[in-house]
Amino acid sequence: MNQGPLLFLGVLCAMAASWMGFVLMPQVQLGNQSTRLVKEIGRHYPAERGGLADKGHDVYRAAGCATCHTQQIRQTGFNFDIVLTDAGDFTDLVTSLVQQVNSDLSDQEAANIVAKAPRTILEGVSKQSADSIVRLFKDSGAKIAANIRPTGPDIDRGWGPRQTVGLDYLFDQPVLLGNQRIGPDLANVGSRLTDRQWHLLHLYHPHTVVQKSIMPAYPYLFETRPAGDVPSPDALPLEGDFAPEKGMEVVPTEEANALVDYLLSLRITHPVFEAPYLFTQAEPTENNNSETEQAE
Amino acid sequence: MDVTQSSKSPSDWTEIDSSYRFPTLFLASKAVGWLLLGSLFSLIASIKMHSPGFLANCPWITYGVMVPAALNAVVYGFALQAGFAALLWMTMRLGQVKLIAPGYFFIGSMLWNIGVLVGVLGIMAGHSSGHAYLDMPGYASTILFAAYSLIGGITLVTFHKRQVRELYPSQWFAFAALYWFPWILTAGSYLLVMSPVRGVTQAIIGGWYASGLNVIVLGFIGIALIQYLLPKLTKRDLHNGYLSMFAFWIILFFGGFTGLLPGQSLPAWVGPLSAVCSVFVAFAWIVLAYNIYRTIEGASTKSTGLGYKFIYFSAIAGLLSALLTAWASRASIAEVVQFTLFLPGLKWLHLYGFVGMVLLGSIYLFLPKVAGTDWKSSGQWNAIFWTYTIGTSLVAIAFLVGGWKHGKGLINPDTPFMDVLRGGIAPFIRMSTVGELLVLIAAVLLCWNVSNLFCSTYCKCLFGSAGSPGNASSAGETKKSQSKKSSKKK
Repeated sequence: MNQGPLLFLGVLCAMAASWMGFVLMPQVQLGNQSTRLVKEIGRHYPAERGGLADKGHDVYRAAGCATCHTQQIRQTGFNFDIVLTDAGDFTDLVTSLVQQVNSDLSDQEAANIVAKAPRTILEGVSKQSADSIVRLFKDSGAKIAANIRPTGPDIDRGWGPRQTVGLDYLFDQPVLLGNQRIGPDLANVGSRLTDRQWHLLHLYHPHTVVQKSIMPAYPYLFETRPAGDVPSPDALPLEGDFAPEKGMEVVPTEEANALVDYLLSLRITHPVFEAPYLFTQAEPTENNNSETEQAE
Repeated sequence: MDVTQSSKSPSDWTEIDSSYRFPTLFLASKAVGWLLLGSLFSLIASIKMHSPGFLANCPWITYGVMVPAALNAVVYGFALQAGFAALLWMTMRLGQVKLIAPGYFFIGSMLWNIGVLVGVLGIMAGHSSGHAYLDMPGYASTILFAAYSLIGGITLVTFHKRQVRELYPSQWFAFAALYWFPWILTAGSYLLVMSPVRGVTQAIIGGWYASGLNVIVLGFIGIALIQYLLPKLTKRDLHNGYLSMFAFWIILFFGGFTGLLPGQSLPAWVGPLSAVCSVFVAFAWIVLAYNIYRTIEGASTKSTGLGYKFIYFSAIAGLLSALLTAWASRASIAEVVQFTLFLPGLKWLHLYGFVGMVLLGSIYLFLPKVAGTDWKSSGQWNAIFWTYTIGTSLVAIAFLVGGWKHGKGLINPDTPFMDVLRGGIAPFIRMSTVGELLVLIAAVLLCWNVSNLFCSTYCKCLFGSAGSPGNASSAGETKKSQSKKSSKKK
């Protein structure tokens, strides 16, 4: 082949094809995406961050946090929890059906479930079995709910209640999905770790709160200054090796506060159409200490 | 097709050679400098993984800044720049043509280095864009584009003016790489940095940019050089031009779609499409490897020397990286390796193993010819080869194996996250630090040798002792060519 023009045209076509595939197509598909009313929470989602958290996003980008932290939760599938919401009038029949569905239950346990509905009968069944169970109870007078539950290692780790979807990043600029998990995923960190002080200490030196952390320290986000007669209310409660020299105090700069605001704003607290799960108003926000220890 | 054949008289060659002596030497010497800087940044980042307190007080060298700074220094400063030099040299030799507008080319080269410097400093100052491989702030990519308009434009025009019209397979690859780069650079930096699109489309375009840069631009530079140098070194013809052509079109059409793993936050079609295309590219690489194997089959390593070893290892790394990329894109494997050190492992294999190795081999082979003087120390080049090869292999193996373990830990929710890090990947990270140290040593030696060569060619000229670039014989040739210039027919 010695025709330059043919080569030129070929390269041009290939470029156009690749551009259409990975630039134009996604833009056509997602370019017009806008906020959406989520009925579970009764407002539009997502909302712009605004305020200090927006500046925190900038600090997050500048420090390259996304080099080690992802903000995407993977979901490998979903299954269903079968819940008896209302036992109806025919308790004997329903009890036997409950036992038929979950043969591990003793007579006593099954009767207990029926008496104290709403109770979960069976956890983690496939869509097919859930359908057949719902059919089974159809004529018994009892009410059955099959609650969808996302599955996957990330969700089992407690990193988030559902997979993240494109909509979650609508207002992020730039979108920092990250592709490394040298540190834990942060998509839902604002729900997992709610303590502001914890985050500040962790940024100042991770070993103050997580013994074995390999995260770098970010002392440059803090100011060490002479403590006045009255110590600043913002000063970090540092002890032992981390304590500043006598008469000095460590206070977070605006950047540190912004970054923490941003981290606390990273929350996945309700389902969206593409990623449903059973939404309950009372989201668990408190964590026990051992989980906090492991995080980050 | 015989690469070594030459219809030109020696004096024509001298004229051609002298037209690109300074541009290629300049690009190559700056490129190895960037490799040194990039390796240093990499090493700093690697050390920070063991001791989080190491140099923690300075925002300019925190881990999250060092990693992209190192990547951009190596990709734009070293790989692309050395690639431009090598492609220029190849274009000249194969096309038997003089460089047009060397002055503008030099301005372009200067501008390119300024652009990379501004970009790396921008990343360190916290202006990074946040998109891998395009981390440079918008103002730096503008300078890079201006610089490339000169470098790439002049190379392409020179290519167009070639005396030998028939195209050798390497030239298709070189042409496509040179043509592809400005396209993705402008589209990428416009859509991601200057006037960013909204939402996760950014992540897809970022992936498109990264795969275009790695698989097509850098990949084609590497393949072009391998296909040019191996037949030249073994004094044989390329086994089959049609196989090369086949691989060329396959990688050209599918290479731009590779590299995006099925992330849950992206549209569902992205991952599978990317996976299928990675398999096509891997197949093309198998074809290429077969073609190369048949070309060099039976050649003895002894007679072909160190340059051959560089190119040979590079071809193996390139094949391996294409195969592993295709393997890792399978849904069941991607689930494990996604978000792990496996991906930087692939990056090392591709960027340092395949592209870096072939570029070092090219520098080793063509720079003395361009400069007209030999390398001062072949022992040091042996040391460069071994430290670089062992270092790169150590890092790649540590990250690939460690990444697999990392992934296996991550997908098992019963393993606490801290155990995945501490017990799982920490030993591998220590291994990679050793590897990165070796690469840094290689880069230091390389810089020393290249700057020596550069000085021995040009300092003499500056201080007036030789009166002309090159050693005595090449100076004589230059004079001869000048006297013949008036009676030149072409």
